[in-house]
Amino acid sequence: MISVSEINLVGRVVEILSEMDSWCGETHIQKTAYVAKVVEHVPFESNFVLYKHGPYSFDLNTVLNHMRSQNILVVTPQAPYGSSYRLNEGLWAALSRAAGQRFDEYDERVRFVCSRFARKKVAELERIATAIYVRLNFGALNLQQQIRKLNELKPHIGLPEAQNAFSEVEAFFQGTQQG
Amino acid sequence: MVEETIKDGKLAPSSEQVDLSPAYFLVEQLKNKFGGDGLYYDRYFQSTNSAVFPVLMSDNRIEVSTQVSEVIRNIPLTKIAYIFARPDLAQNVMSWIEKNRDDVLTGSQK
Repeated sequence: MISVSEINLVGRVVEILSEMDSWCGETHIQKTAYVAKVVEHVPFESNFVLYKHGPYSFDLNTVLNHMRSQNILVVTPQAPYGSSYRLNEGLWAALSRAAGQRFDEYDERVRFVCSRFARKKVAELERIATAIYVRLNFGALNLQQQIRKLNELKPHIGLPEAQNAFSEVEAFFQGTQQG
Repeated sequence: MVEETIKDGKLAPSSEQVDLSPAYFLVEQLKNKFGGDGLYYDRYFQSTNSAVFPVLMSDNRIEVSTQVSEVIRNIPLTKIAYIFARPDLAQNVMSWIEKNRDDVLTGSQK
């Protein structure tokens, strides 16, 4: 799953999240990539599963580690919280030059998702990304049933929080249609 | 060294390159010189973080190691690359590397 395409798309997520003053921890990258893939059809190759804290990709984690080992990504400790990811700008500029304009067509869609997720906290990202997962995978259910399904899948997300998450998801989807 | 050379634009990764290690740049030049048949490039880039494991806390909670230790969270990932050459080429390959390593890695190789 470590490909030029995946490295470039993940790098763009990190670049745009950083531009938007995001904390840019792994959760931000994971949830942004998930939503960009399933809603905006950005061609991330990583496969996602519903994991402990919502949609998660072990493939994407491998790509992040690869980019770390190549020093394309730099992990900055932010004790007592989790680490932030930043691009090594020099190497990233060289990789972007090498890729040319191959991935430019996805910028707007990635930017849209980043604009909604960049400043969110980890718990909010989990709720919203999981609500999107439920909306897309349990489309036959009505809204109230989807809210209960989210609570059933992630019992630590209470019904009021689940309801709020679906309100945000609704606004998100309206934004995608307007875009 | 190679990272600075790439940043300076003297060494440009190709559009399909996902490996920025010095050995990769060397083996690409070696293939031009000696052909690809007698050379083998092997690499290991750590792709999973083995520093992530459960920790039993004094109050019996279970936490993730990387959440409770800054040191563990920032252990560098392992990155190893080897270039192997067929025995009849090995001496020439080693000599070539000895002579050209710096030129390749500083981007001054013609």
